[in-house]
Amino acid sequence: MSNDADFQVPEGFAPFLAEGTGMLTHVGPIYFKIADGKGHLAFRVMDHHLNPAGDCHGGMLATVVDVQCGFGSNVGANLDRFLPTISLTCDYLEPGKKGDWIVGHTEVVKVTRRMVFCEARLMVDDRVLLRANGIMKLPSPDDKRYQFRTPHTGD
Amino acid sequence: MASDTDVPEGFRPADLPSPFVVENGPLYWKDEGGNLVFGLRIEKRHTNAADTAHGGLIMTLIDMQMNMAINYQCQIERFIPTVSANVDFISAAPLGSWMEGRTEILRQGKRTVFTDCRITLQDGTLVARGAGVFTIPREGQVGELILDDMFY
Repeated sequence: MSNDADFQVPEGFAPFLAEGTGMLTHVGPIYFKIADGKGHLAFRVMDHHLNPAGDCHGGMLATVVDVQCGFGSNVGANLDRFLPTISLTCDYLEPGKKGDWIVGHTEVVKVTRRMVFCEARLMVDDRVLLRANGIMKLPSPDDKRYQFRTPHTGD
Repeated sequence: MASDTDVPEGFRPADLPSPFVVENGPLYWKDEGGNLVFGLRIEKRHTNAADTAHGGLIMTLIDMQMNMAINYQCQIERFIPTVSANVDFISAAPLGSWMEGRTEILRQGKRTVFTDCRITLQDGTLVARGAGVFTIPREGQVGELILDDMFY
Protein backbone atom coordinates (compact mmCIF):
# COMPACT_ATOMS: atom_id res chain seq x y z
CA MET A 1 0.00 0.00 0.00
CA SER A 2 1.50 3.37 -0.99
CA ASN A 3 2.50 5.79 1.74
CA ASP A 4 0.43 8.97 1.74
CA ALA A 5 3.53 10.99 2.55
CA ASP A 6 5.14 9.84 -0.72
CA PHE A 7 2.17 10.89 -2.82
CA GLN A 8 2.95 13.53 -5.42
CA VAL A 9 0.23 15.44 -7.18
CA PRO A 10 0.44 14.56 -10.89
CA GLU A 11 1.85 17.22 -13.16
CA GLY A 12 -0.43 19.99 -14.29
CA PHE A 13 -2.79 19.82 -11.30
CA ALA A 14 -3.15 22.61 -8.72
CA PRO A 15 -5.36 22.91 -5.61
CA PHE A 16 -8.96 23.78 -6.48
CA LEU A 17 -10.09 26.58 -4.20
CA ALA A 18 -13.68 27.31 -5.22
CA GLU A 19 -14.64 30.52 -3.47
CA GLY A 20 -16.93 30.24 -0.45
CA THR A 21 -17.61 26.54 -0.60
CA GLY A 22 -17.74 24.81 2.74
CA MET A 23 -18.42 21.31 1.41
CA LEU A 24 -15.66 21.13 -1.16
CA THR A 25 -12.99 22.28 1.26
CA HIS A 26 -14.29 19.87 3.86
CA VAL A 27 -14.14 16.75 1.69
CA GLY A 28 -10.91 17.70 -0.10
CA PRO A 29 -8.17 18.14 -1.04
CA ILE A 30 -9.48 18.58 -4.57
CA TYR A 31 -7.23 19.56 -7.49
CA PHE A 32 -7.85 20.92 -10.97
CA LYS A 33 -6.22 21.33 -14.31
CA ILE A 34 -7.21 22.96 -17.58
CA ALA A 35 -5.89 21.42 -20.76
CA ASP A 36 -7.02 21.75 -24.37
CA GLY A 37 -9.92 23.95 -23.31
CA LYS A 38 -11.28 21.35 -20.88
CA GLY A 39 -11.48 21.56 -17.12
CA HIS A 40 -10.71 18.54 -14.96
CA LEU A 41 -11.11 18.11 -11.23
CA ALA A 42 -9.18 15.37 -9.48
CA PHE A 43 -8.61 13.89 -6.04
CA ARG A 44 -6.90 10.98 -4.36
CA VAL A 45 -9.09 8.57 -2.41
CA MET A 46 -8.11 8.79 1.26
CA ASP A 47 -9.37 7.42 4.56
CA HIS A 48 -11.99 10.10 5.11
CA HIS A 49 -13.64 9.28 1.77
CA LEU A 50 -14.43 5.65 2.53
CA ASN A 51 -17.67 3.70 2.85
CA PRO A 52 -18.31 0.59 4.98
CA ALA A 53 -16.83 -1.62 2.23
CA GLY A 54 -13.54 0.32 2.33
CA ASP A 55 -14.13 1.86 -1.11
CA CYS A 56 -14.68 5.49 -2.04
CA HIS A 57 -18.14 6.51 -0.85
CA GLY A 58 -20.67 7.05 -3.62
CA GLY A 59 -21.59 10.36 -2.01
CA MET A 60 -18.00 11.59 -2.40
CA LEU A 61 -17.98 10.60 -6.08
CA ALA A 62 -21.33 12.33 -6.51
CA THR A 63 -20.02 15.47 -4.81
CA VAL A 64 -16.99 15.63 -7.10
CA VAL A 65 -18.95 14.90 -10.28
CA ASP A 66 -21.51 17.56 -9.29
CA VAL A 67 -18.75 20.17 -9.15
CA GLN A 68 -17.07 18.65 -12.24
CA CYS A 69 -20.29 19.29 -14.18
CA GLY A 70 -20.30 22.96 -13.13
CA PHE A 71 -16.57 23.59 -13.45
CA GLY A 72 -16.21 21.57 -16.65
CA SER A 73 -19.17 23.38 -18.23
CA ASN A 74 -17.83 26.80 -17.24
CA VAL A 75 -14.48 26.00 -18.88
CA GLY A 76 -15.80 24.06 -21.86
CA ALA A 77 -18.54 26.56 -22.76
CA ASN A 78 -16.83 29.77 -21.53
CA LEU A 79 -19.51 30.67 -18.99
CA ASP A 80 -17.91 31.57 -15.63
CA ARG A 81 -21.02 31.54 -13.44
CA PHE A 82 -22.16 29.39 -10.54
CA LEU A 83 -24.38 26.80 -12.23
CA PRO A 84 -26.93 25.39 -9.75
CA THR A 85 -27.65 21.73 -10.40
CA ILE A 86 -31.23 20.90 -11.32
CA SER A 87 -30.78 17.21 -12.00
CA LEU A 88 -27.89 14.77 -11.72
CA THR A 89 -27.91 11.09 -12.58
CA CYS A 90 -24.96 9.00 -11.45
CA ASP A 91 -24.32 5.49 -12.67
CA TYR A 92 -21.74 3.69 -10.56
CA LEU A 93 -19.79 1.39 -12.83
CA GLU A 94 -16.78 0.51 -10.69
CA PRO A 95 -15.79 1.37 -7.12
CA GLY A 96 -12.95 3.78 -6.38
CA LYS A 97 -10.23 2.24 -4.24
CA LYS A 98 -8.16 3.88 -1.53
CA GLY A 99 -5.16 5.56 -3.12
CA ASP A 100 -6.81 5.88 -6.56
CA TRP A 101 -6.21 9.18 -8.39
CA ILE A 102 -9.66 9.99 -9.78
CA VAL A 103 -9.95 12.50 -12.64
CA GLY A 104 -13.13 14.17 -13.90
CA HIS A 105 -14.11 14.91 -17.48
CA THR A 106 -17.02 16.96 -18.83
CA GLU A 107 -18.64 17.10 -22.23
CA VAL A 108 -21.07 20.01 -22.66
CA VAL A 109 -23.88 18.67 -24.81
CA LYS A 110 -26.10 21.76 -25.05
CA VAL A 111 -26.36 25.29 -23.70
CA THR A 112 -29.80 26.86 -23.95
CA ARG A 113 -30.97 30.27 -22.80
CA ARG A 114 -31.60 29.04 -19.28
CA MET A 115 -30.00 25.58 -19.02
CA VAL A 116 -26.79 23.64 -19.51
CA PHE A 117 -26.85 19.93 -20.36
CA CYS A 118 -23.64 17.98 -19.83
CA GLU A 119 -22.20 14.52 -19.48
CA ALA A 120 -19.42 13.84 -17.03
CA ARG A 121 -17.18 10.94 -16.09
CA LEU A 122 -14.89 10.12 -13.21
CA MET A 123 -11.99 7.98 -14.32
CA VAL A 124 -8.96 6.18 -12.98
CA ASP A 125 -6.47 5.88 -15.86
CA ASP A 126 -8.69 4.72 -18.72
CA ARG A 127 -11.35 3.06 -16.55
CA VAL A 128 -14.69 4.78 -16.01
CA LEU A 129 -15.83 4.63 -12.37
CA LEU A 130 -18.84 6.88 -12.66
CA ARG A 131 -20.92 8.17 -15.54
CA ALA A 132 -23.18 11.16 -14.99
CA ASN A 133 -25.74 13.23 -16.84
CA GLY A 134 -26.16 16.73 -15.47
CA ILE A 135 -28.71 19.46 -16.05
CA MET A 136 -27.83 22.84 -14.56
CA LYS A 137 -29.58 26.17 -14.40
CA LEU A 138 -27.86 28.89 -16.39
CA PRO A 139 -28.40 32.11 -14.41
CA SER A 140 -28.54 35.46 -16.16
CA PRO A 141 -25.08 37.09 -16.35
CA ASP A 142 -26.49 40.02 -14.34
CA ASP A 143 -27.70 37.83 -11.47
CA LYS A 144 -25.35 38.79 -8.67
CA ARG A 145 -26.24 35.72 -6.59
CA TYR A 146 -24.43 33.46 -9.06
CA GLN A 147 -21.37 35.47 -9.98
CA PHE A 148 -18.12 34.04 -8.73
CA ARG A 149 -14.48 33.71 -9.68
CA THR A 150 -13.06 30.35 -10.63
CA PRO A 151 -9.35 29.61 -10.30
CA HIS A 152 -8.69 29.70 -14.02
CA THR A 153 -9.88 33.27 -14.50
CA GLY A 154 -7.44 34.50 -11.87
CA ASP A 155 -8.24 36.96 -9.11
CA MET B 1 -21.83 19.25 18.76
CA ALA B 2 -25.52 20.06 18.24
CA SER B 3 -27.47 20.79 21.41
CA ASP B 4 -30.75 19.05 22.13
CA THR B 5 -32.69 22.00 20.75
CA ASP B 6 -31.00 21.55 17.37
CA VAL B 7 -32.24 18.00 16.96
CA PRO B 8 -35.98 17.49 16.50
CA GLU B 9 -37.79 15.18 18.88
CA GLY B 10 -37.53 11.47 18.25
CA PHE B 11 -34.19 11.58 16.44
CA ARG B 12 -31.09 9.84 17.81
CA PRO B 13 -27.51 9.79 16.47
CA ALA B 14 -26.88 7.07 13.89
CA ASP B 15 -23.67 5.10 14.35
CA LEU B 16 -22.64 4.23 10.80
CA PRO B 17 -19.35 2.45 9.97
CA SER B 18 -18.62 4.81 7.11
CA PRO B 19 -15.78 7.34 7.46
CA PHE B 20 -17.21 9.63 4.79
CA VAL B 21 -20.58 9.77 6.51
CA VAL B 22 -18.98 10.40 9.91
CA GLU B 23 -16.95 13.25 8.37
CA ASN B 24 -20.04 14.85 6.87
CA GLY B 25 -22.54 14.21 9.62
CA PRO B 26 -23.74 14.15 12.25
CA LEU B 27 -26.52 12.01 10.87
CA TYR B 28 -29.56 11.34 13.06
CA TRP B 29 -32.28 8.77 12.61
CA LYS B 30 -35.72 7.76 13.77
CA ASP B 31 -38.21 4.99 13.11
CA GLU B 32 -41.43 6.07 11.46
CA GLY B 33 -43.88 3.20 11.26
CA GLY B 34 -41.10 0.72 10.58
CA ASN B 35 -39.37 3.00 8.06
CA LEU B 36 -36.00 4.67 8.46
CA VAL B 37 -35.88 8.47 8.50
CA PHE B 38 -32.48 10.20 8.47
CA GLY B 39 -32.05 13.79 9.58
CA LEU B 40 -29.22 16.30 9.21
CA ARG B 41 -28.78 19.94 10.25
CA ILE B 42 -27.03 21.97 7.50
CA GLU B 43 -23.81 23.51 8.79
CA LYS B 44 -21.31 25.76 7.01
CA ARG B 45 -19.11 22.82 5.99
CA HIS B 46 -22.07 21.30 4.12
CA THR B 47 -22.63 24.31 1.92
CA ASN B 48 -21.88 25.66 -1.53
CA ALA B 49 -21.00 29.20 -2.61
CA ALA B 50 -24.65 30.26 -2.16
CA ASP B 51 -24.74 29.14 1.52
CA THR B 52 -27.21 26.37 0.80
CA ALA B 53 -26.71 22.62 1.10
CA HIS B 54 -24.21 21.46 -1.50
CA GLY B 55 -25.64 19.24 -4.23
CA GLY B 56 -23.06 16.64 -3.37
CA LEU B 57 -24.16 16.63 0.26
CA ILE B 58 -27.78 16.15 -0.74
CA MET B 59 -26.71 13.31 -3.02
CA THR B 60 -24.76 11.78 -0.15
CA LEU B 61 -27.81 12.01 2.13
CA ILE B 62 -30.04 10.50 -0.57
CA ASP B 63 -27.53 7.72 -1.23
CA MET B 64 -27.35 6.91 2.51
CA GLN B 65 -31.11 7.30 2.92
CA MET B 66 -32.00 4.87 0.12
CA ASN B 67 -29.14 2.50 0.86
CA MET B 68 -29.70 2.17 4.60
CA ALA B 69 -33.46 2.08 4.17
CA ILE B 70 -32.93 -1.12 2.21
CA ASN B 71 -30.92 -2.52 5.12
CA TYR B 72 -33.48 -1.30 7.66
CA GLN B 73 -36.80 -1.83 5.89
CA CYS B 74 -35.83 -5.07 4.08
CA GLN B 75 -33.85 -6.37 7.07
CA ILE B 76 -30.71 -7.08 5.03
CA GLU B 77 -27.47 -7.01 6.98
CA ARG B 78 -25.08 -6.62 4.07
CA PHE B 79 -23.55 -3.54 2.48
CA ILE B 80 -25.73 -2.53 -0.50
CA PRO B 81 -23.76 -0.96 -3.39
CA THR B 82 -25.44 1.77 -5.43
CA VAL B 83 -25.84 1.09 -9.13
CA SER B 84 -27.59 4.29 -10.14
CA ALA B 85 -28.92 7.37 -8.36
CA ASN B 86 -31.00 9.95 -10.19
CA VAL B 87 -31.52 13.12 -8.17
CA ASP B 88 -33.61 16.19 -8.99
CA PHE B 89 -32.86 19.30 -6.96
CA ILE B 90 -36.18 20.95 -6.35
CA SER B 91 -35.48 23.69 -3.82
CA ALA B 92 -32.49 24.92 -1.88
CA ALA B 93 -31.90 23.92 1.75
CA PRO B 94 -30.52 26.98 3.55
CA LEU B 95 -27.68 26.96 6.07
CA GLY B 96 -29.10 26.03 9.47
CA SER B 97 -32.10 24.12 8.16
CA TRP B 98 -32.95 20.52 9.11
CA MET B 99 -33.24 18.05 6.22
CA GLU B 100 -35.08 14.72 6.51
CA GLY B 101 -35.11 11.75 4.17
CA ARG B 102 -37.71 9.06 3.55
CA THR B 103 -37.45 6.08 1.24
CA GLU B 104 -40.05 3.95 -0.45
CA ILE B 105 -38.91 0.49 -1.54
CA LEU B 106 -40.62 0.09 -4.90
CA ARG B 107 -39.43 -3.42 -5.58
CA GLN B 108 -37.00 -5.80 -3.99
CA GLY B 109 -35.92 -8.45 -6.47
CA LYS B 110 -33.49 -11.27 -5.88
CA ARG B 111 -30.47 -9.12 -6.71
CA THR B 112 -31.83 -5.68 -7.57
CA VAL B 113 -33.75 -3.14 -5.50
CA PHE B 114 -35.60 -0.07 -6.83
CA THR B 115 -36.26 2.88 -4.50
CA ASP B 116 -37.82 6.33 -4.39
CA CYS B 117 -36.62 8.93 -1.93
CA ARG B 118 -37.75 12.38 -0.85
CA ILE B 119 -35.70 14.90 1.08
CA THR B 120 -37.74 17.54 2.88
CA LEU B 121 -37.24 20.37 5.33
CA GLN B 122 -38.88 20.17 8.74
CA ASP B 123 -41.92 22.08 7.50
CA GLY B 124 -42.42 19.61 4.66
CA THR B 125 -40.89 21.72 1.87
CA LEU B 126 -39.54 19.38 -0.80
CA VAL B 127 -35.79 19.81 -1.29
CA ALA B 128 -34.91 16.90 -3.57
CA ARG B 129 -36.20 13.71 -5.10
CA GLY B 130 -34.15 10.61 -5.71
CA ALA B 131 -34.65 7.43 -7.67
CA GLY B 132 -32.25 4.61 -6.92
CA VAL B 133 -31.21 1.24 -8.24
CA PHE B 134 -29.18 -0.95 -5.90
CA THR B 135 -27.68 -4.38 -6.01
CA ILE B 136 -27.85 -7.00 -3.26
CA PRO B 137 -24.47 -8.74 -3.16
CA ARG B 138 -24.22 -12.48 -2.66
CA GLU B 139 -23.72 -13.56 0.93
CA GLY B 140 -20.07 -13.45 1.87
CA GLN B 141 -19.21 -11.13 -1.05
CA VAL B 142 -19.08 -8.00 1.10
CA GLY B 143 -18.91 -7.16 4.77
CA GLU B 144 -21.79 -7.44 7.22
CA LEU B 145 -23.61 -4.46 8.66
CA ILE B 146 -25.21 -5.16 12.01
CA LEU B 147 -28.48 -3.21 12.19
CA ASP B 148 -28.63 -3.25 15.99
CA ASP B 149 -25.19 -1.63 16.16
CA MET B 150 -26.13 1.23 13.83
CA PHE B 151 -29.69 1.91 14.97
CA TYR B 152 -30.02 1.66 18.71
